[in-house]
Amino acid sequence: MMADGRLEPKMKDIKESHSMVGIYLVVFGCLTLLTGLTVGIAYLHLERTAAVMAAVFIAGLKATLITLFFMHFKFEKKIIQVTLYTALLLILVLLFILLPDLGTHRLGL
Amino acid sequence: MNNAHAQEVSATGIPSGKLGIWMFLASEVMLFGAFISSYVILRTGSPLFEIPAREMLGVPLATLNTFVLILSSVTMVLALDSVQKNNQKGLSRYLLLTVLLGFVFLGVKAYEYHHKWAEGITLSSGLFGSFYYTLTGLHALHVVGGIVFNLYILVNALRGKYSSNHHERVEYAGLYWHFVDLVWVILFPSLYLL
Repeated sequence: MMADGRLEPKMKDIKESHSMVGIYLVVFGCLTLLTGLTVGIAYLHLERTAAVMAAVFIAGLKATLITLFFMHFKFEKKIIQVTLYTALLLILVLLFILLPDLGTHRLGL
Repeated sequence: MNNAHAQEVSATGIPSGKLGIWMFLASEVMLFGAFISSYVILRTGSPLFEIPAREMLGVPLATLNTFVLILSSVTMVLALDSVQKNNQKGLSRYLLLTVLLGFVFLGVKAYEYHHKWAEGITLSSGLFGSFYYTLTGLHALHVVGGIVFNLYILVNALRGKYSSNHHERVEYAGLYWHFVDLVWVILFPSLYLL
């Protein structure tokens, strides 16, 4: 079967797939650890800004791991990446449009 | 969309089904993003936004649910990995596990709702209650949708409809399920820990 030259790439695929299972399990371990970390930090009663920054950073890291490895985003074509980045950009625009309103309320304007 | 349409390659060089599910997920990002933005703005800016005590929020149960969804994401990606290796048993087994973990998540959520309601955190008890039930309710509806989608894939898998050469719908169901997990990863600290 090796002589027909077709089995080799298949075996290569399976090998690659085996290594992907390892990556999935490592990502699972990281996600579990990060979940424990975010809960642990919440009980440290840090100063408000530090607590928010830590929670946002860890949530962002977890979301990135899920997107890149479980959703295989890093292997997708540019058009799909641009589609998702556009949606994320629009959310940031929405937040920044609303932030000045927050400032005026706080200042009592 | 029938199989032929799902696999048809669009002008972008990407199968229509895959392009469609990513477009759908982008719209979902904007849906949840709009709700979460409103939550952040009101929570930061409104003097009427009162946060219940952490003991009332039930952090241990929410942590358990986070772990359940993360685990279900792993079983989902292992289901895809199985079908890519033509392992039909693995595909069915991991899909079934994913569906069961989805039900566990909903069961824990129902228990949480019951207790929160009894403790006075209701839809009309304040801004936190309104946002809590709107955001987690919307997310739970997506979990229900994901379970239905995965059950459909599971039934087809048991009928032997997927193989290493034809498993597009398993991949699309996986993309949706991982997105549901991703949303919860953001909701969990926002609603329970901060």
